[in-house]
Amino acid sequence: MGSFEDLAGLSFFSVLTRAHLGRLSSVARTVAFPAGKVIFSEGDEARDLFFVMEGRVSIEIAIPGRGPSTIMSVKKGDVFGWSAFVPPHEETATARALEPVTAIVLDGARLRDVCETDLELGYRIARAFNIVLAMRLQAVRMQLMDLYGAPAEVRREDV
Amino acid sequence: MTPTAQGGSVWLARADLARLLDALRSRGYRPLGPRLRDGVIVYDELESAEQLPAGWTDEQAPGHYRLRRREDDRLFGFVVGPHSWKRFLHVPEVTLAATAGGGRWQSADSPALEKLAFIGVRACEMAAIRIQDRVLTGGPFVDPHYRTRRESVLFVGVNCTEPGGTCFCASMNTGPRHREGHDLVLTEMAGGFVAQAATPPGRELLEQLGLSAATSEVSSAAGEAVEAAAVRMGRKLATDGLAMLLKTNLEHPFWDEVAARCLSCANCTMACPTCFCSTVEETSDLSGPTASRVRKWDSCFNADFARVHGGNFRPAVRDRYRQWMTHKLSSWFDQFGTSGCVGCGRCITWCPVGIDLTEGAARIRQAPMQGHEEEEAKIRRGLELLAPHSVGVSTAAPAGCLEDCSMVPARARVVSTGYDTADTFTMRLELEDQTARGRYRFRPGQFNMLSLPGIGECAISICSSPLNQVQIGHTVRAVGSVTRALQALKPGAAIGLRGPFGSSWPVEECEDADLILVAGGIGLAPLRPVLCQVMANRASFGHVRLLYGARSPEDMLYARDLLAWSSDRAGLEVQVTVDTAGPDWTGHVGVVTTLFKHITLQPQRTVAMVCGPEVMMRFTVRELLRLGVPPVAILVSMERNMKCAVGFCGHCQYGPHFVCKDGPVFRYPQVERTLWKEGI
Repeated sequence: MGSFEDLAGLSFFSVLTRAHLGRLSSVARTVAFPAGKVIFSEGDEARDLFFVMEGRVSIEIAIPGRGPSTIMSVKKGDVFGWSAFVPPHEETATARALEPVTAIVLDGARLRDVCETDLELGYRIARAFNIVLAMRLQAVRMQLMDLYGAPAEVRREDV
Repeated sequence: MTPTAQGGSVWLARADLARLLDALRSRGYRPLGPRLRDGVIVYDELESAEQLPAGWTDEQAPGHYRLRRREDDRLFGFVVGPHSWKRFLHVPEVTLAATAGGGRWQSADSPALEKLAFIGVRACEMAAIRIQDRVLTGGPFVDPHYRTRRESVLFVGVNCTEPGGTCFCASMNTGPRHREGHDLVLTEMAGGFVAQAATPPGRELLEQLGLSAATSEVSSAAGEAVEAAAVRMGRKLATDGLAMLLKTNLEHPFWDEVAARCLSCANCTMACPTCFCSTVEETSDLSGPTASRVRKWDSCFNADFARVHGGNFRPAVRDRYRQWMTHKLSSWFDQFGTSGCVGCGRCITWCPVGIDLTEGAARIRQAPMQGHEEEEAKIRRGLELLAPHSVGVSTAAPAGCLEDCSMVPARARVVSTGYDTADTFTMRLELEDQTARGRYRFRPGQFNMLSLPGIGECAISICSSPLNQVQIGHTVRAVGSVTRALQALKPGAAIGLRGPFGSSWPVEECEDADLILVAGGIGLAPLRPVLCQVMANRASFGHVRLLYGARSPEDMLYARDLLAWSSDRAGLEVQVTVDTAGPDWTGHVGVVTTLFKHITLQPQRTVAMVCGPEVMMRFTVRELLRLGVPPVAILVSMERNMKCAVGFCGHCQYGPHFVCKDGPVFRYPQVERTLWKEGI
C-alpha cells in the first residue's frame, strides 16, 4: 500500500480531494530501484505509472548504432510511465534509474478502473495529465528548436 | 548702421548672387548648391551662379519626378531632388582606419577639410541636419568624421514658397520657413531675394555685400508667400500620438499590405535626409600588409542588415518596412528625442512603386488594431515600472572605454587560448599600450569588438572576472570567417580591440539580494563575470543560484568552473541540464526551463539575470514572472547584429533600443512589448 501522505504531497494530485486520495492509495505501492536498474523498456507493456519520491530517472530512446540517448530526466515530484494511462499501453521509451530511486507506483489497469467508476476523479486525473503533457510538449518543442547552436549549413556563411 | 546690423531684411538682387558666391569664396568657403544633372536637380559644386537651375521646377508625386520649365526664371523654383545634404556631412563612403602594416590600426587621416557653403538649404533639410547632429554627435559617442565636416559648413537657407506634391514639412513643423541652424536665409521674389542673417558669419557676409534694406512691401510679400506655402503642402501627416499609435500596431494588417508592394530597394533610405545607417567593409591589398576599414551607407531594407550567425532577425520585407517606418516616426523619439521625419517627401517621390508613408500612417490611424488601447496601457505601465531605474536615452560618456574606440581598434595580444567545447574557445587578451591598459575598465555583461585587419570584426562578450582588468577573457564560438580566424590565433598574436561597450548587469545593486542566473549555451559567457564577482565577495549576496542549460554535456562551457561553483565551499546552488545526453551523463536532461519546476525562491528579494537564445529567455522570463519575481528585477541580455558598437550604424536596433549602447543588458519591461514578436 502506498502512503496516503506521499500521494497527498505530490503536486500532481493537488487537484484531488482527500476522499479521492484515499481511493487512489488503495492502488498505490512504493518501490525502490538501485542505480542503473532499467525500470521498463521501450516496447514493454505499460503496466505502471510512477511518481519519483527520491533519486533521478532518465528517459531514454535507443538509436540504432548510437546507443541509448537520454531525452529527459525526471526527479522528485515528477511523473513518468504515463503510457500506463494512455492507450495502447505500450512504453514509448526506456526508463533507467540514474541513482537509487524510490517511487510510488500506481497500477495502470486499476487506476483506469477507478477513473471509469468515479468520473469526477477520472476527470481530475485526466486534467492533471493534461498539464504534465502540455509541459512535456513545450519542452520537446524547445528541444526541437535546438536553440543553442545554429545548423552547420547556416553558420558557414556568417561572421 | 547698415540694415543687416540692425537685424532687418536686405534686398539681394538676383545679379548680386554671384557676388555672394564670390564673398563666400573669398572667406575660404567652397560653395555647393543645386544644379541640373541627369534629369534631376542635384547638389554639387557651384562654380558660378549661372549653374543654378534657373527657370526649372520639379513635378513630384508618389513614384514620380519630372523636371518642368517654369514660366519665370526663378533660381529656387523647385523643391528638392534625390540628393540631400547628408552626402557632404555623413558622406556615402569614408575610411575610418587603416593599418600601416603589422596590424596596427591608425585613424585614417582626414584631409584638411575646406570650409563648405551650402547654398539653397530648405528648412526641412536644415531640420534634417539638426536631427543627424543628434544621432552622430549627441553622445554617448561622437562621430569625428561627421563632426569635422559639420563644423566647416555655412548654411545659406532658402525659404520655400512653392511646396511640392509630396511635401509635408508643415505637418512635421520643420518648414517651410527657416527657424534655426541657418546662417542666412533667402526668400526668392521676382528679380531677387529678401535676405536675412541669423548668425555673425551670415551678418558679416551680407554686410560685405553692402546691400540696402528690403522695402517693407517686398518683405511682407515674401513673408506672405512663405505663409501661403504652409497651407499648400501636397501631403499631410497627423503626428498627434503617432509615435504611440505605431508602437501599438506592430501587427497591423497594413504591414502585410505594404510589404506586398515594397520592393525593399532601399531608395527611400538613400534619399532620406535623416537615415544614417551604415556598414563597415574591411579591405586589404593583395600583398597583405595593409588593410583599411571603410564605412558605407547601408539600409535597413537590405536583406542582410539584421543578420547574425545562424539567422536573420528581419527576414521578411514586412519586418523591414515596419522597422523603417516605426523607427522614423516612433522609435526615433525614444532614441533621440525627436521625430526622424522632416516631411521632405523624398521617400514618397523616389519610391519606385509610390509607397506613401503619410498614407500608411493615416491607414493605421483610421483603423487601428483591436486591442491597441490595452497595448498602450501595457507600454505605459512598463515605462512607469522603469521610471525609478533611469533607463532611456543614454548620452553620458562611457567610463572605462578606450580612446578613439568608436572608430579605431587598439592593439592587443593573445595571452592564452583554449577550447571549451569542439567549436568554442576562450582567449585571454592583453592590451599592448600601457595607457590603454590603465584606461580600460569593463563591467560584467559588457562586450568588446575584436578584429583582424582585412578579415573583419565581431562583437564578443567579456567572460572574465572584473577583478582582473588586464587579462580580458572572451569566449568565442567559431561559426564564421572572423571567429574562425580568431580561433587560429596563437598566444602572442596581435588582435584589434575596441571597447568595452554596452550596459552591464547591475551587480552592485544586488548586494544582499538573492540572485538567480539563468544561462543557455554560450549565454553563460557574459554571466561568468557576475559569478566571479559574487565569489570574490560571497558574503555580500543572499542566496545565489545558477541554472545552466546546454545542448549536450559536450557543449557545456567552463566545466572546471561549474565543478568549483558546485562544491559546497562555493556557497552557490548550481543546477545544470542538457537537452540530450548519452548514457554516461547522470545529470538532468531537459530544457533549462524544466529546472524551474523544482525551485522555490523569495521573489521580492530576487534579482534574475538571463542570457541565452531569445526563445529560451522568453520561456525563462515567463517562469520567473510566474514565481513572482518583479519585472524590473528580471534582466535579459539581447543579441542583435552589432557592427559599430557605438550607436552610429543602426544595425543592432531592437524596437526603440540600440542593443550596443542601451543594451545588451535590458530590464524586462524595456523589451517586454517586443520580446514576444517576430521580425523586430
